[in-house]
Amino acid sequence: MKNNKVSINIISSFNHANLVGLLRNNNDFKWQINDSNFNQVFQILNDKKLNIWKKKSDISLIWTSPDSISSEFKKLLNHEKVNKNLIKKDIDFFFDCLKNVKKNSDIILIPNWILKEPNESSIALSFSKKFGIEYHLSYMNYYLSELISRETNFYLLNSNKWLTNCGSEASYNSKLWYLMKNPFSNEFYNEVILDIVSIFKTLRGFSKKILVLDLDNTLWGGIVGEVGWKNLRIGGHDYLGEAFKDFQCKIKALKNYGILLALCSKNNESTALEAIEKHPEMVLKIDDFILYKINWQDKAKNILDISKELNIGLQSFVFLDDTPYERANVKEKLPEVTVPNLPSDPLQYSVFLSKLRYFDTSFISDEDKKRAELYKSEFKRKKIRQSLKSHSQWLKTLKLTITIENAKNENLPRIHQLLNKTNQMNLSTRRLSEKELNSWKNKPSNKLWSIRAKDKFGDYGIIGIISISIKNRLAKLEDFILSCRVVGRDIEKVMIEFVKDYCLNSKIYNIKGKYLKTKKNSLLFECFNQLNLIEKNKHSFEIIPSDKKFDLSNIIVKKK
Amino acid sequence: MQEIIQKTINELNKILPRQKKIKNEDKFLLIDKKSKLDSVDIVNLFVILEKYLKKEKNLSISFDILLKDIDEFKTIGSLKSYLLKKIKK
Repeated sequence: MKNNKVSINIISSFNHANLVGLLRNNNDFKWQINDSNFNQVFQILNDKKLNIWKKKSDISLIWTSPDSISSEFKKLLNHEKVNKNLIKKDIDFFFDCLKNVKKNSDIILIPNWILKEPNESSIALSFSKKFGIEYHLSYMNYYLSELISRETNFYLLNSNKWLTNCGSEASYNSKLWYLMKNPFSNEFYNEVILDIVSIFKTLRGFSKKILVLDLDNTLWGGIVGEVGWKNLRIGGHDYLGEAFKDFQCKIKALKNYGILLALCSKNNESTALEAIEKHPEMVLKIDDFILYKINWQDKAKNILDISKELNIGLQSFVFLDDTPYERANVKEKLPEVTVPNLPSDPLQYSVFLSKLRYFDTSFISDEDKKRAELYKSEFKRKKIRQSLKSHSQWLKTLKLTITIENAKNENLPRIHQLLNKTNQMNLSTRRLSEKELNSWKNKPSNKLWSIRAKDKFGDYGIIGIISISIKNRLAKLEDFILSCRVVGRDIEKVMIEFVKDYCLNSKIYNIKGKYLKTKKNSLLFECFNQLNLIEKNKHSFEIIPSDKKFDLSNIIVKKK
Repeated sequence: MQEIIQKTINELNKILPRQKKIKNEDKFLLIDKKSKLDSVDIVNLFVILEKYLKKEKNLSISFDILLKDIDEFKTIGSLKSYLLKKIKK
């Protein structure tokens, strides 16, 4: 990821030189920073001829203070009475200016408004409708968030969180303000950078998918094999027990928005399972875990097995364990797995987990919410597969139904998620913002379809995408994406046949494609090679729509 | 004093681009025609230095005094000598 280039425009109403400096030294990405003069926000947003707008950037950070946007709000700082409608008009004007540049960046980040210095005066008047600074600031932020929610690529960043994390005193630096018109400290900017990196990773599909957890002194206090399940510290009138229970609640919340949970613990399986099942204060139940590896084997091996069983790449794993040795061992043997250093004090676990940004998301799809169930049905399918002699017999038993439909607007967030999150079964690994994807889809020469699958064990939801671009009666396969959990059940053949049919019906007799190799998409190459679509050591390929069809007699295909 | 200088340099280097990074060497130029540091960097240097002097030595030097004595900050070495003198006083 360190080699990925990210271009960012920084526009602000104050001197942001230190933010630029810190960002330039940040190692998460190779930053290409397009700086601009400070305190010229409106001029910059309204002049599209400026250099900053000449090339489309990945991110534009537009950071203003409330008094720089609204002269009416400025009156409040002098305890003058204000007209809320005039503040609203000022925000409308600012928002109109923001919209001017929405096409010039994939993502527009706008920190919500906070003051340039701590506001300690007139506590009693803070939320007064006539004079209250906090009242009007809250109103401004609420109104701005309403406007911003109308735009697909605008994101409001939470500046108040940066203040909380840094502490009010450490966030501001009055010396820097008076000497160079920079209100904030470098500690504060470090918080800002963490969020910029995090939101960019989230939107580009770098979020983690699975959290693997240890048990003893991680999910509960004590070693179950030594003290027995009745003496474990979870919940109850015990400060440490409460901390473990809160930690479990936070983990359960992650599961509820689609993060998979797994256990990896050195214990006797029956002892640990008894504790999970019988301890009345356990928040996490055994059903919350997609898999568990409770044994005395090396934890790195167990995690590798989980990765293979679930067909999820190690780069999507986060491992939490209280023992430094176990963390170091996994870090060394499986460097792709993210292994944060859990604090030595369990009282800090819950806050620590809240601050981890690995699981951030910008959208929760129906598929996310039921991800654990989807994987569980998958285990049932695999069980049947083991009992049957042939692959085709298995497919027949599954009663697999594939529905292919034109990408609909309501499905675009899920399609965008698949486009940006799928690594292994991905032809070109092109990453687009939702806005870019939508404008690509709307061009008449481009076609984008979503693939749904269901079988007798349940609905998989949207699990794939195909797209082509057409020029001079020649089709180019742009995207061929399939969720890795459904690979190997002939859906890839259905997708190929669908494109062939579409092209034949449109009197297109040649489909070209190019496999763009990444570190993670060799699965797609192997699959295309097995289907005789691509030769070994070659990247370009051709599909002739009139060629012999694949046998799809075991699958029901619906086209909408 | 060495520690305060080192901490200041470390913090300032987090903002500076690679070609401007400061080395903790006595001859390293800070305020000089040939120095690569600009006015914003010098302000940052003073603000960070002031923070550590206050924290570690409980010594406050106002920005006005630092500006008045600016000729003393030609190099890292002269900055060290200046601060040592101030602490002794």
